[in-house]
Amino acid sequence: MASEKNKWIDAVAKLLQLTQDRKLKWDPHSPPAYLNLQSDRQRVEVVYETRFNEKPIRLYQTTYKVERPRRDPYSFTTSLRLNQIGGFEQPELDYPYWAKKTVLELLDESGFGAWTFPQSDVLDDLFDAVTYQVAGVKEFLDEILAVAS
Amino acid sequence: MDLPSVLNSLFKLETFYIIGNLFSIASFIISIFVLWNIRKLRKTYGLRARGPALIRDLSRSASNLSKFLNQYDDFLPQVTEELARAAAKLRSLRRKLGGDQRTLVKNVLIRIDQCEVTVQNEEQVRLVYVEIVKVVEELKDYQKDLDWEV
Repeated sequence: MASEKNKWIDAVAKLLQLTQDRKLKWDPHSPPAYLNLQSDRQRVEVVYETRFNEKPIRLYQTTYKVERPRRDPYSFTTSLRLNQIGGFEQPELDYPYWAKKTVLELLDESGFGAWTFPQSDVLDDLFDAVTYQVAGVKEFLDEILAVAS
Repeated sequence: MDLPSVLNSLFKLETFYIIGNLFSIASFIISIFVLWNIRKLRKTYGLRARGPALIRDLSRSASNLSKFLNQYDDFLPQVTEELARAAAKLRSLRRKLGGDQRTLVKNVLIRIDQCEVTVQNEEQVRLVYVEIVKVVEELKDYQKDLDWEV
């Protein structure tokens, strides 16, 4: 299981390296309509797309609403046990709240997400690297430093 | 053989010596078992109490490293600092872990110690970054498993 997950981390880390080395160019696009069908629950502002070995890939960050989980008798006893044993009480969250998740998808020919990469922190780092590239932060920094010197 | 003679042969001093020895061996084994369990409990609760914050900090360090790798040549001192920060968190986590997770953390620490932050060494820094991300994911899963242990 761990080695399977590591394989995905290695793959995304490779995409990250290619992005940071400017060998993989990403383009910003408006999100397809189906990603914002339930905009009161989930929102996507912009998506980034590229091709790796002719395969289209899409990366985006989705902001989604987290509702209070329903409690059945089983989960109640479980949460009681988890929260109280050892005195490590978890703080009560204010529901609903909004959370962010980075999604990397392989696209089919019609532009629909055919397959989604498993969640891991490296996806957030890839998203940062892509926005860094698309916003031209490196060039901007170089310009500022050139003026300053 | 009649009952009194059987009882007489049973309640000899040697029999009590043997029983006494057996009990002390058994209590020694039980003490070792209890000690081992206490150690395990201490580690488990240490990880429960401090684990989430340490894993969060480690994840933040990995994220910062990734940001510095956008322009590696310009951020060499920052990379060195961030690696030191990650190593400190990993050392703290190592004390709270056992088994496979401890070995994993130890291996990353060795990699960090061997990693020289120079312009030519970007590839090695990148490898360390990936290893830290893998450790973070592994520890997050381990933490989830831990929640199900009593």
